[in-house]
Amino acid sequence: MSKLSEHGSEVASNSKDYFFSEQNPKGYKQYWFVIHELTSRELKRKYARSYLGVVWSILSPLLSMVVISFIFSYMFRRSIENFPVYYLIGLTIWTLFKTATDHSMTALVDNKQLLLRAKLPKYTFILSRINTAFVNFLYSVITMLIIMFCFRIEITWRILLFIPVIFLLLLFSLGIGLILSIIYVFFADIKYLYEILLTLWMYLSAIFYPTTALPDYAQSVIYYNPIFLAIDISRSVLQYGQIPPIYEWIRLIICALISFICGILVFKKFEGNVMRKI
Amino acid sequence: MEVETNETESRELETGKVKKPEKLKRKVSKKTKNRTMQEVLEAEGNNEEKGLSPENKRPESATAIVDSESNKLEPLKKVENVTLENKEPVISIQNVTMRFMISTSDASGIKEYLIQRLKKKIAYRELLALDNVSFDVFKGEVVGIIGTNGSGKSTLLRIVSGALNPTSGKVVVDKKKVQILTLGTGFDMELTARENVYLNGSIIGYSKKFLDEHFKEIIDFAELWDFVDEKVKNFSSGMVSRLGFAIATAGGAAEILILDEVLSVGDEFFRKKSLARIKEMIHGGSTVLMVSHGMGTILDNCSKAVWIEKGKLQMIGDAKTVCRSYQNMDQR
Repeated sequence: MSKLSEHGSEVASNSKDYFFSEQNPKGYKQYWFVIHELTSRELKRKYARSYLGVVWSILSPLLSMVVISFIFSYMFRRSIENFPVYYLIGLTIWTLFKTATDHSMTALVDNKQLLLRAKLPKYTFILSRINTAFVNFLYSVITMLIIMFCFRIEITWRILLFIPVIFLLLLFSLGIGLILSIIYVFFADIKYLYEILLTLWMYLSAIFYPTTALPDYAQSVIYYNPIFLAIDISRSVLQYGQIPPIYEWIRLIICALISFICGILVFKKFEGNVMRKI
Repeated sequence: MEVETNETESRELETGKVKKPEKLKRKVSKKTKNRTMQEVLEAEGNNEEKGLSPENKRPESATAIVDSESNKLEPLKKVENVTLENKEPVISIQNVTMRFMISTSDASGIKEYLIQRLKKKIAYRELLALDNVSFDVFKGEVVGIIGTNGSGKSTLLRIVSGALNPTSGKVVVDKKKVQILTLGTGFDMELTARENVYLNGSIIGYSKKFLDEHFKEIIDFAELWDFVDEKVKNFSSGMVSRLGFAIATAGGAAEILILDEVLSVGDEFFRKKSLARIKEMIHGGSTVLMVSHGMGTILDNCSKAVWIEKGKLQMIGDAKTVCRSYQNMDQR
């Protein structure tokens, strides 16, 4: 940015203090206000016509757990103890990634009218979708903790390691989401392609089966899948109270950073052409 | 400190608006003028500090020039000799050309677009929406843009507001001062009026505090107290545009106001009210750029008119003259 533009916004913020501007320390406050408003709108929309509303965020993983456990817990009774907990951790993390990226994809196109008037960067809309997925995730975490308590899983200090895992996963999702949102503007068919990809990805994330059930070639692949890494680390710290191996952390960090940086680069490059297209 | 004074001033403006005694209004507009001058001087002072060349010592130097080709911001180089009194162009449109790859089938919404896209019905052709358009808008002017449907008026407004980047040419304007008001308000139909006020307000750039303070005023103006917690999808189109208008103009006099065909909506009473509000803003020193198909609206409000036909600048000048030639178009 040149000196001139900076100066311009300074003058603007002097004359109108309620306007958003980067120079204004209030700018960040405004920024969060926008994300907060967009997020609460998404949440309200999601449950706009249902009676139970946000309770579904807690209930739906629970019901899914019951169904899947009913089918698979017998099948994997030898390799997995406390199957419902095992499944629920995987499901919760998978759902976070899936909704975050899937919803980010349409963030720009859905908000066409708002984008025309917005005075803040376009990626705010993607951030708000990620944030929405995160809030939903927090509700599911409640379910997860309740079930863990029911199965008398011992809670150790290692549970704190769950926080950086989620942070890395969000970073990863943000990168993917930024790229998808841009692609979706120019090539709407990506929606259907990504759906297929998600299915494959889900089956490669060992959500409801043990990794030992996979053939050798798949086992070597799965340990490079960031989603599986996040799930595996979370199971270690939550269910088994162990510290996960360092190489898992490193791989997850690298994946998250690559995705995040690529996402920003792609978004910056094509951002300018977005409005012409939608 | 500076911010504080401005805030009180704008509050006075607000009261002036509500009670609207003629004297007060005049007083306010004078004050705003003073403020503008003060700002101009400030801008100058700061530029000297930053060591910019004297050619740039005009308030425009406080604006950024967006060059579509490079997307870089560069300082103004050529500046005509204009006196400071009321003569600085706040919007300068320079050789703006806009090319669209437009679909040959008429997909109006995103949904239709997607459906047709799936059916592979969409083929593209190039559309020259704006062809080398240049003109300046000066401070305090009310400029009407006229032209037949699809002649590029809305595109021009979007470029000025910064939502679109032109294919070539540039627009010099301080985007932070621009407030655009269009019919597609971006309301979320599933949310209530109250929620939409906050959502839209935040997007436009109002802070939470500002919205809390002005919420009553907004709903008052839109006359929607009976529907405040009603979902917007149950609103009539007139009610929706009333709400949109009330939110967009709640910030008092935006320095540059862009109106896209908004003065011809709502019932007659609301139209009068919104016209009055726009007029107050003009008194308060706002510069207005508006698109309207109602010749009456243009003639009544605009000091200058721009006629764009098929992307080309056809005529520019006094509102009466331009409107007359526009209306005589088919007879030729």
